[in-house]
Amino acid sequence: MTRWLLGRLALLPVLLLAVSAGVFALGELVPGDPVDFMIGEHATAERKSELRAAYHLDDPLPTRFVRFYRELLTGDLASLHTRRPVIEVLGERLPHTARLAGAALLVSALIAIPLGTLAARKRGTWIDDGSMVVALVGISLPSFWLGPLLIIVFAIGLGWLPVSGADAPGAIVLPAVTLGLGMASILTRITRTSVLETLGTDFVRTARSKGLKETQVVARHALRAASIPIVTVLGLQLGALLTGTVITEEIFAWPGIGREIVQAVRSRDLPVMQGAVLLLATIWLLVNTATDIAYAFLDPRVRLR
Amino acid sequence: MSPLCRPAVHLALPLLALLWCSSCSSSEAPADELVFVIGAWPTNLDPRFAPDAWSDKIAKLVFSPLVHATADGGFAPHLAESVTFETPTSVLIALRSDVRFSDGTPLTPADVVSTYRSILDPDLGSVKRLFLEPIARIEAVGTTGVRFELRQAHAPFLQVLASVGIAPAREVRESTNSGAPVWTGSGPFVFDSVERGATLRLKRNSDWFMGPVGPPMIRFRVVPDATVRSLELLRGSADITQNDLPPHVLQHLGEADGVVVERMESTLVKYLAFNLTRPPLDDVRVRRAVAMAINREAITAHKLRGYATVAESFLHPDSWAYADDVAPLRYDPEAARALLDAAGFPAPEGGAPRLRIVYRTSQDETAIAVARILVRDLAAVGIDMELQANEWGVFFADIKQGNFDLYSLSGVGINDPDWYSFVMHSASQPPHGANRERYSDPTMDALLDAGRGTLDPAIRASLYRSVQHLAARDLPLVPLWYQHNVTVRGANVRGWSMEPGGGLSALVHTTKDGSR
Repeated sequence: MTRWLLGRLALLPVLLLAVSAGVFALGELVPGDPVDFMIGEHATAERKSELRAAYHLDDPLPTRFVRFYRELLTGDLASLHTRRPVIEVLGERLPHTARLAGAALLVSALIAIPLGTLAARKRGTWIDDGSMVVALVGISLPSFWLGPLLIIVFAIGLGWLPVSGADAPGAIVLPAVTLGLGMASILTRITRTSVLETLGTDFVRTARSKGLKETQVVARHALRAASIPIVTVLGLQLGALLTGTVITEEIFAWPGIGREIVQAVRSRDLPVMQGAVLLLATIWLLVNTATDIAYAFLDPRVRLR
Repeated sequence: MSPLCRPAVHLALPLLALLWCSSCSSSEAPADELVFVIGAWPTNLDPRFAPDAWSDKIAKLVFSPLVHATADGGFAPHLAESVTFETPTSVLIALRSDVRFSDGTPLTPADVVSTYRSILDPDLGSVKRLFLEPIARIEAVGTTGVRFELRQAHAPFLQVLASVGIAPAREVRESTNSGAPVWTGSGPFVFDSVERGATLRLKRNSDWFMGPVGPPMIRFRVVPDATVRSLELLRGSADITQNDLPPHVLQHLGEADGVVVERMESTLVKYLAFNLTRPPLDDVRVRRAVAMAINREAITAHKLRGYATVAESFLHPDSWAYADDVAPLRYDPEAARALLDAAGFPAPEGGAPRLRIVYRTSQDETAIAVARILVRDLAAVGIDMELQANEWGVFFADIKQGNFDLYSLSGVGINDPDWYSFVMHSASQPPHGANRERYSDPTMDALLDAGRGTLDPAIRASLYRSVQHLAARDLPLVPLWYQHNVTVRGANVRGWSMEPGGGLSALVHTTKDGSR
């Protein structure tokens, strides 16, 4: 197990190095001169040239690549516009995104695990069909449509929740539900399939033969055994949520990483853009690694392999 | 409780608690705070830069200029007590003696000199330097005066003075050394707090020289999505917005209770620009055919839902220099086809297009919707126009470099006819101006130079009428329509009034009567 774990962790720096090289290349490929966005279209060619030199934008590609790594590792990577360290800019935004992703995951799990389990237990009934229809509808609703719809119902119609922003109490509910509903659809199907598989296994039959109630059989035995794919999907969903909240953050004016990326791209603030993408890629890698480790803990066969 | 339900209940409780808490709270904007929703974050609030519309409008609430624009398109002294043209190239400003910055220090000539010199310094890289180029020298005169020496007579100089908010000399010096923005002004509001990208709070300046007025606090909130902005206004969690909602949303809001939609004609002109270096658009007959194929009346009435008025000039009809005898560009597809025939683009057999051009625009929702109509209008006369909508940075970089056949943009707050120099003088090609269409005509240049160098209003009016006739003849740009200034505000917001240029100075008279 330790060897396996060390092997997984040793892979991380290699992957991060490859990702950061990709992120640097991404910054190089973005069209538009960052200097134009810094000092406007009417600045003289001399001034633009001076600014490019000051920000090392004219240095040869390998020099800039090395500088990018050095600034990244020393924490000196700074916004072109505000000169604030990128780590500080993203540090302000990440807690908002993490909070939203966590809440969305909670919404997803709250809906999907009971619904998927119920669908498995009532296989072939109207409850099973109904839950799958709900799952299909959930996955079919795009967030740019569902978000405003939820606002109209719960903020405008019922007046229960704020429309957008992150300051007012309860402001997290609508963006979390918007993100969580789509995720819940996938998780419901996975839960149903996984629980169905375990319900037909010998140990479940043994549990039933011992006289346990059906709810206990399902909750204590079947659901636990079925949790490996569920945890895997939840982990992947957390990664996807942390990195895929751009549209929802734009709709709900949620001040997270997604909005920072959009603003950085619009203003060609390359260091912020590169820093944010790298941060999200790192989160994605870490979440995947953590999922693999959790998987190993839940299923001893993984460790043995 | 069954074991199956227990974990779900444990998980559900915090969420339900959150929902319950939120339902107890009010999302209405606080009574002592005016919430102004905007679609984009102001990129730089330093008055020496203020490169975008929101930055400029908000910075003006904090940093007062020497003179300010009046509702009738003129200018009046503001921080200045008086403005005297000693000669056509020497302007003496006498400063008011009762002006203090929000940190309590009095306004001095050194502050004015320092702010202007800072902008004129090429190292600062301010976009405003271009407009200050007529200034040869600026010096303090005694304890209350400032003299501007100009390179040559510059008729729109008052507009120059109105565009620069003054900051304390000490802060300007510190900013030069540190690169940090200036923060202290002498306007009706002061910066209170900033949450970058999300919220900017201004509080009332209790030491403002014209007396503390306006709401105690203004919160500018960025809400990127237009539909959500409109819902914030409907909900009452936002109080006001201006020129930041698409027409179809405005129509819906106009029918809603609790909000008021107001409009007035503005000096903001939407125009079409041709690339005069690219055939076939170097032929004025083709440009005229394109212009005559566009049904501007239908677009303004239907797609823009009446929130625009067809324009024949870049100047508003109320302007002192407006030429009302320029023949209007009428919608006439038949005449457009005849012009294309004459220009050597007859209709080919089999319905193939006469010519193909590319139209560049940003990804703005309304701009794309209008562009689709232009594509249809031009197709009706045999022009195949490809629509290319790009992210703003790509779009703007390309049009500056001349990578376009046609594009459309807006001219913002056109008060003085000298704006024509900015877009049509041959010396104003990028990066020295906005003559992105690369128009060059010696007569036009001579008229524009004369208009800029003449202080006599009657002579200037005559010169700029000739400019408008020439522009209508050569059509490097086609004025399409005047976009209306549109404010959406809560019914409880009082005292707000709109300005032709879309400024926010009326916020000093704006108050709110509790909640809706």
